[in-house]
Amino acid sequence: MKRIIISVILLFTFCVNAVDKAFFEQVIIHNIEQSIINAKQISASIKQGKTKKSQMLFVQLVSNWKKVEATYVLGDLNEDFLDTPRYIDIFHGNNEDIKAQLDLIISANDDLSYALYRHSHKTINALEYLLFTQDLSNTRVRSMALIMAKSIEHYLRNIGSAYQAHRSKFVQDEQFASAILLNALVSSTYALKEWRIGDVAGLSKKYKGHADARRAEYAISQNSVMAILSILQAHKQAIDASSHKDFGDVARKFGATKEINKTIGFLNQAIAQVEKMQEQDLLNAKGKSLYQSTNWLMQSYYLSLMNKLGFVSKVLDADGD
Amino acid sequence: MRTQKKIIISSVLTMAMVASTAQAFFGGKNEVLTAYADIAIASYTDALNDAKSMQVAIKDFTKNPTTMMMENAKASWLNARESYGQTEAFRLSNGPIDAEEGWHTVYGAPEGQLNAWPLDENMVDYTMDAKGKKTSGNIIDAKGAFTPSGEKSKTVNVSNITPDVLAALNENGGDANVATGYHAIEFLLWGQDQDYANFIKDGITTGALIAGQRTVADYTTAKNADRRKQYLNAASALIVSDLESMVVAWGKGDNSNYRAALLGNNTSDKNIDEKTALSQIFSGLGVFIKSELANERIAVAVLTPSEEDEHSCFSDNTHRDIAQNYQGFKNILFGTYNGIDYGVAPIDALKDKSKLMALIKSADAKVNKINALAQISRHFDYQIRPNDPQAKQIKKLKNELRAIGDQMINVAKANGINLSVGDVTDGEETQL
Repeated sequence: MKRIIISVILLFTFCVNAVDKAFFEQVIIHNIEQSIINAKQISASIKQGKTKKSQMLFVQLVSNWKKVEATYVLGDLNEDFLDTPRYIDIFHGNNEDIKAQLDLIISANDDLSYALYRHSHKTINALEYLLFTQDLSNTRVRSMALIMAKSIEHYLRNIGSAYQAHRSKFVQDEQFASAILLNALVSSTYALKEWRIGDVAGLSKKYKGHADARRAEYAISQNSVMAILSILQAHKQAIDASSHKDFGDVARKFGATKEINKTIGFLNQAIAQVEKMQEQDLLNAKGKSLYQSTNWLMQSYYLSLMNKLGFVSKVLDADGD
Repeated sequence: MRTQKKIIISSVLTMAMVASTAQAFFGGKNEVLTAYADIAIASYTDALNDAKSMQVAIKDFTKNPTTMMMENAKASWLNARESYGQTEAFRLSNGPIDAEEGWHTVYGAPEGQLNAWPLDENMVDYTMDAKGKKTSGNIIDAKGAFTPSGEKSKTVNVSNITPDVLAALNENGGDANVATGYHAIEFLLWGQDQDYANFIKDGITTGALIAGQRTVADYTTAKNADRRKQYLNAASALIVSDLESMVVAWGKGDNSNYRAALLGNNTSDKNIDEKTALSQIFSGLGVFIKSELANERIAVAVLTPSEEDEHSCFSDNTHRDIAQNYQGFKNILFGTYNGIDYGVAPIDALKDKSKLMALIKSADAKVNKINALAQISRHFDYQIRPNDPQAKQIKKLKNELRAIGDQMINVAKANGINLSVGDVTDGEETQL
């Protein structure tokens, strides 16, 4: 499995003011709170057996969760939360065939409290499979979907509470906050470019020349492009927001105006491209262009911006490139 | 395959090695390598001797298959794992145990043959599947030709189960097609422990302190009893011969072997550049503790959760695997083995040891707790259950071991070697 490994080490001799408290409230906290609301609404909708409404709410949940994921710094604030996202989302992180497993569970009679013992069985990916391929009027399916939605809500609440508990660690230690945020953005961009676009379009090293729409993150519900847009919007919140001091402001303050403007340019270019895309476009020239834009965005983050701001990036692509 | 991770020496590392400026430590480095090599031969000699004892116990059991003799064979397997587990820290360092290229592959790079896992036990012998049906179509019940599942697998004549036959079957057609090594023997002695339908249900061998319960009848009255005996003897013979090759590679007094090359004493122009040797060792230690032990052997099991991803899932000996793998890592880091000081250790050059020692102290406590509970309360496969409070501690242990792996960058630097995070991380580790 191809993987990028990134560590950001702060050079303490170069003082960088971090993003401010407003960023933490308006981005980090806001996004997690929205996703909690979505998860709660889905539970209520599933309980009522409303398939269409549940599907619509699922789209909103995906949108907000992708934003939380793109700027996820909680594991750096408290290592106990390093693994929490994988309890919500197993995209590209699990070799299990959960569809087959879920089919077996649906057709069996085992008590769901232990039939759904695997964390992967209660993720957003499992919920997508049930909401978009199964019949919610089936009591067992509905019960399973409800367990999934509640589990997702549970872990989202854990994340929300932990962010609140670690607010001071983020807002008071500016250098640390800057480092972990940039690290999250770089990691997110790599996953976006390589897994969410490249693997689908047949442009990643792993799947070079072998495009396959089934590798898209939300292939079942056809929400993969929307998820990509949400991720890019989270980056926009982090580096090019008008409502709060963001990472872009910090970059300009410390002389990286050219670098951050370039980064924002690539980001805006990618957003503009995604806004005109449909799911199937991931497989054509539009997908290729988006792959290039997100690649430039990643390069811009970790090659120029990190260095200019006084971070040392150490990047190793396991495949050697 | 988890047991055959490629050690990736990146261009970053190569450049770092060239750029290293710590020439002042030149004399000390040889002593680090000497201690490393001395611990290696001591460790592999113990592993070989224990494997030989296991081979004898298995032979005795197959000659006289009683319940008591079966328990003796199991005890010998458990004992053999104690010493072998410590040798695993020598992996992933481009050494003779698993080097994928170089002249020292002449030692057979036998790691995949010794300790491959997880294995598809259905290929070896019968199991009870998820629907409660006894499986067939395995090596034991095959008549004549046997073709493992998977793409491009090759048919092997298994009329007689010999070391060569098992070697030909191992990983034939796929990484999970494991036919040799400790875990194949483990399965043939203990049998299935996991409930494939749902490991939480634990309906095959019910109980928190209950491992696999293969009966001695499989070696007496059951169909194919003699083939199981053949299999056990062939597999144990392979382990012994593979470990003998490691003892040859690391043996003292041989100016043509791997040890001599590592220490610059090889007279056949095969000497390994000192900095290259140190880089590979520090990188290997980091990858082993971070990606292999923490990620593949602990994280995958506890985060899934999954019994089939615990290391010794038939005997429920995973707690000892973790303890001894970790001990093997510490042996090299501290330059000690079985309480004996082997000289200059990698950690000696590290000026500020506080962070690393704090991590080790904390990890020690968690490893000990896993062991203690496995003996009196519940095995590892119960400790990883989602609602067990130990699951959280095991996750913390995983994080600490990964942090210890990253600390190898500092240890390496103190010894004049520059490594990056990528150098102490397996780029192909399972994503979680």
